[in-house]
Amino acid sequence: MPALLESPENIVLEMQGIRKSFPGVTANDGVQLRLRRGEIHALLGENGAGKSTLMSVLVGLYRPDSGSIAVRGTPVVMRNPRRALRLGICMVHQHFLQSQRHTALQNIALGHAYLRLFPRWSRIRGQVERAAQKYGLGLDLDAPIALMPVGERQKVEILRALFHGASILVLDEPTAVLSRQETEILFQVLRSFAAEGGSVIFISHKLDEVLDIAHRVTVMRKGRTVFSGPMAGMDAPRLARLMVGRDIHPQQRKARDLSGPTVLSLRDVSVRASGPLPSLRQVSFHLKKGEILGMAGVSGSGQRTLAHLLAGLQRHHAGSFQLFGRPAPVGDVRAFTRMGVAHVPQDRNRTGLASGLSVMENLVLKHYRQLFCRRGIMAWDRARAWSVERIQELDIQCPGPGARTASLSGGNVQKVILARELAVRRPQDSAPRLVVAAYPCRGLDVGAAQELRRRLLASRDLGSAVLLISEDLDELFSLSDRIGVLFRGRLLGLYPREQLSRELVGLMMGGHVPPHLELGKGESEP
Amino acid sequence: MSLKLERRADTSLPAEALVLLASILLATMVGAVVFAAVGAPPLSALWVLLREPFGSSFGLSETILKTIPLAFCALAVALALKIDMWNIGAEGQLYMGALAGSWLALHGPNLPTPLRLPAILLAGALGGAVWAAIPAMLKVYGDVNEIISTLMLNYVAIAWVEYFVYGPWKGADGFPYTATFHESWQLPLLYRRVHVGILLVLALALLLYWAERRTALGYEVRVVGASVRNAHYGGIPVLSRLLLLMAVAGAAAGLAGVGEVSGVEHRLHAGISPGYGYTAIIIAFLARRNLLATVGVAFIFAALVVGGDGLQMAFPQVSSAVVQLLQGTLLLLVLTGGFFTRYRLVRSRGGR
Repeated sequence: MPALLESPENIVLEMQGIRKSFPGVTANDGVQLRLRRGEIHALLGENGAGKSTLMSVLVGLYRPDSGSIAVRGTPVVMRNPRRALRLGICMVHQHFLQSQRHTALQNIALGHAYLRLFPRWSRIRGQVERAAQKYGLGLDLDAPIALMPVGERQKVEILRALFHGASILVLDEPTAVLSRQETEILFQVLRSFAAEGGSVIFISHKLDEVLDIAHRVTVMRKGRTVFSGPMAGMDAPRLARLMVGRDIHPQQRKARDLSGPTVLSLRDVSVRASGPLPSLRQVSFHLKKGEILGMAGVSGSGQRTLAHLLAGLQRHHAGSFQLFGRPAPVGDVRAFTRMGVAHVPQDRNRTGLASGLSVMENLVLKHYRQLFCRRGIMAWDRARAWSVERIQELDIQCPGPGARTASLSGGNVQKVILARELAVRRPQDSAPRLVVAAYPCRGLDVGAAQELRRRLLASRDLGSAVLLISEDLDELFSLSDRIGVLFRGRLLGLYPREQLSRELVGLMMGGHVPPHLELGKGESEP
Repeated sequence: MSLKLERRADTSLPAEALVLLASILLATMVGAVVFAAVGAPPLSALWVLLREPFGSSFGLSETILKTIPLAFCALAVALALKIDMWNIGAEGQLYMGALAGSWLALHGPNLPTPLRLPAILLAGALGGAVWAAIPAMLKVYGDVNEIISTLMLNYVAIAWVEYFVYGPWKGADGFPYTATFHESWQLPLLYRRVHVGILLVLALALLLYWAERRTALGYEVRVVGASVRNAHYGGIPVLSRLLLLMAVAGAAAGLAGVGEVSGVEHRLHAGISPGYGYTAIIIAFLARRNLLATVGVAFIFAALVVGGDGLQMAFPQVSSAVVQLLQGTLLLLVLTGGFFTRYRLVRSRGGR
């Protein structure tokens, strides 16, 4: 960093006192952001902290209630994204806004002055190719966007920003969709962009990445700026503390007593593929009360089929499926619910809840028959009071039980589901007897994920058996008592966690079973 | 200073009412232009359009009379829309209700007199329900698009009615209509030609509106309408709810048919409905699927129908198509106006 002076000409962007509220929520409450030339500036915060709102204000998608924006010392009103683009501010969205039917080059040129009635394609191509070469962003410009992997599509977005002459690049959680290697390439590009005098706002909630790439950091919490300063001397625990507002402790593990009754037992269970659900083949395992069984596997190996089977949504066609010592009432979700089987599904926003309905209507989905319905008539007053309890219990951030679920942030949406599912229990129990959780923390920030895992563990301590499907090996290893690996619909093995390492599980996820872990060895009969 | 569109956080009821009012006003202006174009003095034509349905006790009673089938059918459409089903078949369900009611009145078992009116209403509701259940089952078990199947079944229903009134049920005088129902099969009149159907449709709208909000079934239907996957996941029997709702919708349209044969015409003929089931689609949309609002909007449309009839008598050069044109304009305007209930114009300061 050649110049980190506070001289006014070094400050390319100054946002001051930005306030933006939506009905019931103040998303930004007097936020400050100061961006310098040649700087990679991390914008850190939990889901719902107000990062995306702030950036939407910056690029002219939202109009702030109050506050000012100055670009290179001149106050401006961001009327629309086009105005922001003209001032050299370009945003790479988390979900790319690209035209599927057009090629990379056509998407890059979209909205540019060269693209008049008769586009000057050779000129456009020349400029784009030069930019691509300079930053090492090699890609096939004539490939249709629809056929490109996400990593490539992100390159297209960045090239588009460069081609449009962006001097301030805003990236909204750019690494969420990238592999390790792709992330490295992206970081290289950002570093050389900054070295050339460009500025980058890097939105993230991944601490290690922020530590890796950022020069300065602004931390947001609940709509406010809680910290802004250089990264020098910063470490992960301190960042996490700033972001979450409290200390984050690693999960404590202790030796666990697993002599409880068997909750669930599958023997040679096979499920036919149906629709998007792949098949399961001769899966056998059992699960005991108070046990967490982690299920690893590359996506599409049958995890969702397994979850649907265990939650009563899917039938098996062979083998035996015993639940609480009796044949499971397969295909009857309500019977599963009555027996105390909770299900946190993989697809939150369409399966897990109906985003068009209110928080209350989503919370009561599994209980309305037993708790709030008398001779077919709903007691909504009681349902509302009950919902308020659930909202308080899990600290769900929402204006109230009547709020539309679609307006909630990702972490809070997952909390709504968890609040409902953890309440799926028989009157005589204090927790669900079985919790089937598919990727419960995927996409959540550190704080929310931590909170959710704590809830799962608490439920386990109250006697729940938990089947935890995840792709996050750290999560599986920190929570599970035993870990199994699914590969193409088969259970490759199921072992006590102590017998496994991340490397072994990684190998098995690719279908390799190391010779000393023979198939099925780890499984003992109940 | 410049103007900018901004998305409203919430749609407000006053805004929606304002849009409806403004749309009616604008449609009236369009109507005036059309009247002038065909050579009718616009102001007096508009006056006829207004005076005819409301200006006399007879006109008002006619308007209320026309409200009955329109409101029943609009309920049938709006109900199905609650779960994203497009019931284009209210017309056919109306015809089947009329057919079932007529069968009972003319050829059915000899019931004791006090049972006859409940029985004919039940028969009509059942006829409509069965006719609506067919496309619902096709949808549920065969994934057949309900827009096509409900529409096609309209023609089948009308053809059945034609078969009976031209064939086995033809009256003694040889014209294509049935014999007149015995008095005990006729719905009692409340005022002039207005029969008890108006009370029935109001009661049904209130009941359904209440059921939607207060019953478990209503909640389940809302979940199914919001996300079928979520409903399956929650253990709601989606297929049975879908069938039930469509059957109730068909029953409402069937009641419209009974009302026409038992309350108005007192016999069955092939032209029992001038397209109430189709106008009902427009009504359901203008009412934004709100079950109570459908009755109010149906009343406005009934007024348009009555006013249009009067218009043709007063000005022979005005064709009946003008009224349809007015209806269409109104729909277009309200749908466009819906934009302003979702967005608002805001003034922005400064900026270069």
